[in-house]
Amino acid sequence: MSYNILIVDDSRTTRMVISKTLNLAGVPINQLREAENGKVALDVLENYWIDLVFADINMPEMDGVEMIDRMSKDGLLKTIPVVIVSTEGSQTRIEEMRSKGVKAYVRKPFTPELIKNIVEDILGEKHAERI
Amino acid sequence: MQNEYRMTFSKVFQEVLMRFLFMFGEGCDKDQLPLNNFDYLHARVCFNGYKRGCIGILAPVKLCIEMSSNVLGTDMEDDICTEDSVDTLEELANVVCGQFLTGAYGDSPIFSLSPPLVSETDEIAWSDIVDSDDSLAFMVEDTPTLIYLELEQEVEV
Repeated sequence: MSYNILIVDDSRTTRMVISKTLNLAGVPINQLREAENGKVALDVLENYWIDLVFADINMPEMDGVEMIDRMSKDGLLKTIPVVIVSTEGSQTRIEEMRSKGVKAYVRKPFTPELIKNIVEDILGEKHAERI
Repeated sequence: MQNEYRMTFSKVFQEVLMRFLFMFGEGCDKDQLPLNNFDYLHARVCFNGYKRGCIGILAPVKLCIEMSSNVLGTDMEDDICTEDSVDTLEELANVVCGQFLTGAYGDSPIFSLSPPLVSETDEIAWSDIVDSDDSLAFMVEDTPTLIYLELEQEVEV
């Protein structure tokens, strides 16, 4: 089984690093999509089936917090697991994001191993749900 | 810059260089900074919240291309490294800022960070920042690089 993954970050470098990390980790990917902010990401989510979202918090136009708030108001989108990848390290912020249903919080700079473990945990759960 | 911030800022910059860009940076005396040209980029990120201020990084264009090459795992001659060099410097400033804030103030306060801004810089701007007490000098992969931290003074009421 392969997955459709969306990476949301205003930094093209970070999007490429996450993308490379997923490939190196051997995550089975069907389609990898990218968005430079929350607004573009919501457009992608409304038009394509996505299994997992990696999202930054600080982005122009629409940040990650607003994107997650909007996803949580949509019956289908709120079921998609979101992993935050951010430079922010505030425990208050991390707890706030977890309370909004975020599955995991990764601080930049991250290691490929961390991303790999998180993807395995989340997609493993998702895979089990589908069986 | 206060000594406690100086140490934290310097340590964070070196750690992020190593972990994000796989590069080595060593602090050096500002008077000993060799300069061959002023083909430099200047990245700046400001923060707001428990404290207000900005951090900045001044790095030569060639070093920014090398940073991009390292993080993307591609050859420096690859066009993508030149195209992404500004983005990589922006992201470096963003990560250094985020790591500095938790290093200096702990993980309770929430800060909002501005989108990083990158501009070209010239000899005058470079000299101003070198002369400032808020800046620190590094040799990153044997290339002169400056970082600075500007903290807004708190007004006593």
